[in-house]
Amino acid sequence: MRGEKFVVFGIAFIFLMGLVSAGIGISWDKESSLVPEKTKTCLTYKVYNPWPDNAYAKIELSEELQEIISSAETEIKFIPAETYNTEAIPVSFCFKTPNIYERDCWIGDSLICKQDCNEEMKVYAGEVQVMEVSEDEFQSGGAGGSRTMMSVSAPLKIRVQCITHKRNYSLIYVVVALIAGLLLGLNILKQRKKNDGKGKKKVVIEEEVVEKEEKSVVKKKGKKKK
Amino acid sequence: MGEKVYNGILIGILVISLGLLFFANVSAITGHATEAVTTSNVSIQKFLAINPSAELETGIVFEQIATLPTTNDNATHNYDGVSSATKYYINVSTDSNTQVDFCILANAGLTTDSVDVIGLGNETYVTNVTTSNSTTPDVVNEISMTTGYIEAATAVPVGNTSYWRFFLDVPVGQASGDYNNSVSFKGVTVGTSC
Repeated sequence: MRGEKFVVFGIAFIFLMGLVSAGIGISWDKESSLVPEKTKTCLTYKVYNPWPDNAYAKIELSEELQEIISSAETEIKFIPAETYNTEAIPVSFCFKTPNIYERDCWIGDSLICKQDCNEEMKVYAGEVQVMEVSEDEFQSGGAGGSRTMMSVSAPLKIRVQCITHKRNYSLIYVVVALIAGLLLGLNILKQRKKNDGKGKKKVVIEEEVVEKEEKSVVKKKGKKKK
Repeated sequence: MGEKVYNGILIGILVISLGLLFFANVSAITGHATEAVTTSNVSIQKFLAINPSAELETGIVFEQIATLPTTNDNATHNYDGVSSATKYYINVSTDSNTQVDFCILANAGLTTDSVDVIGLGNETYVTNVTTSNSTTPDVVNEISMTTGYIEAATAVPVGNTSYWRFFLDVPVGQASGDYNNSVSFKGVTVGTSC
């Protein structure tokens, strides 16, 4: 009797397990980010799997975000069974926003510039998609069929901030200061050389005066003896 | 004297340039604070998880077709659940905090290795949230698949299930062969576009 119960239970267990499959989940607490031009920012999303089977997932960003992505974890992630939302596995993406707003520059594209920010804010809007990677091979039959793929996604917006600023004349101040400093330095060096020359001449003259005085003292002594 | 004046002018230019450079790049404001400021903060987290039935995860297989044309050829698990329910379903986990919309697309029409194609408009689906029996979801409401994501099942509550049935029309003259494609399902927060 016990043996029969065990067999029935075992069969029921195996049958039920056959009905269970893995799944995927995504968790996030930020859907958008406001980032100045030419700035790197990183965002973290999390993946989880509350179901009783292990799962494998690949994380992808939609095409709209590919333009500005600088790094992403694209390898297939293993998500153990019963990994609940509170234990979700983090996945990071980093973006670098380009220079996109118009600037009025005096030299080239980046020197002595001002920015008025009259254009509309540029937004890169897409999604983070977590796709389940299945190990099972699709077995078609009958008239054929469709392989199925599961995914979950979360929206993501990167807003590029334009920062208004007046024309920056720092380069001009630096150049003028450098020129003034250089000229001043050269002048000081020139004066020092001149003074050194004068100093040596003075010493020679003084030595000659001392020599002359000594000679006259010796002469005087000589005259006295006589 | 001339040299001294010249040096004085150069020093003046140097000091003024450095001063202007300093003030051009300093943006801090100092002052005596007269107010106390604090911040308020709230963080909104969303999370959702889905899993397909084993039958749906294995794939959508259509029954063998004997005569052409055929209309609404059934996928093999459309009616073999309890009370003729469908066994193609997707669960929304109780470990979610948002209702889920499901989107569906097919990568192409069903195609053989030798590139014979059953047009994508011939592969259809119908879906219902939370219930399935012999008449629900009903083939009368079938919708053709497309190659772009379209919203199929909306506002599936947390802990609930969306049920699916799949059908295939095969026109007369369609070449014999084994036809395949890929169908993708995507779960998104309710109200989010596909």
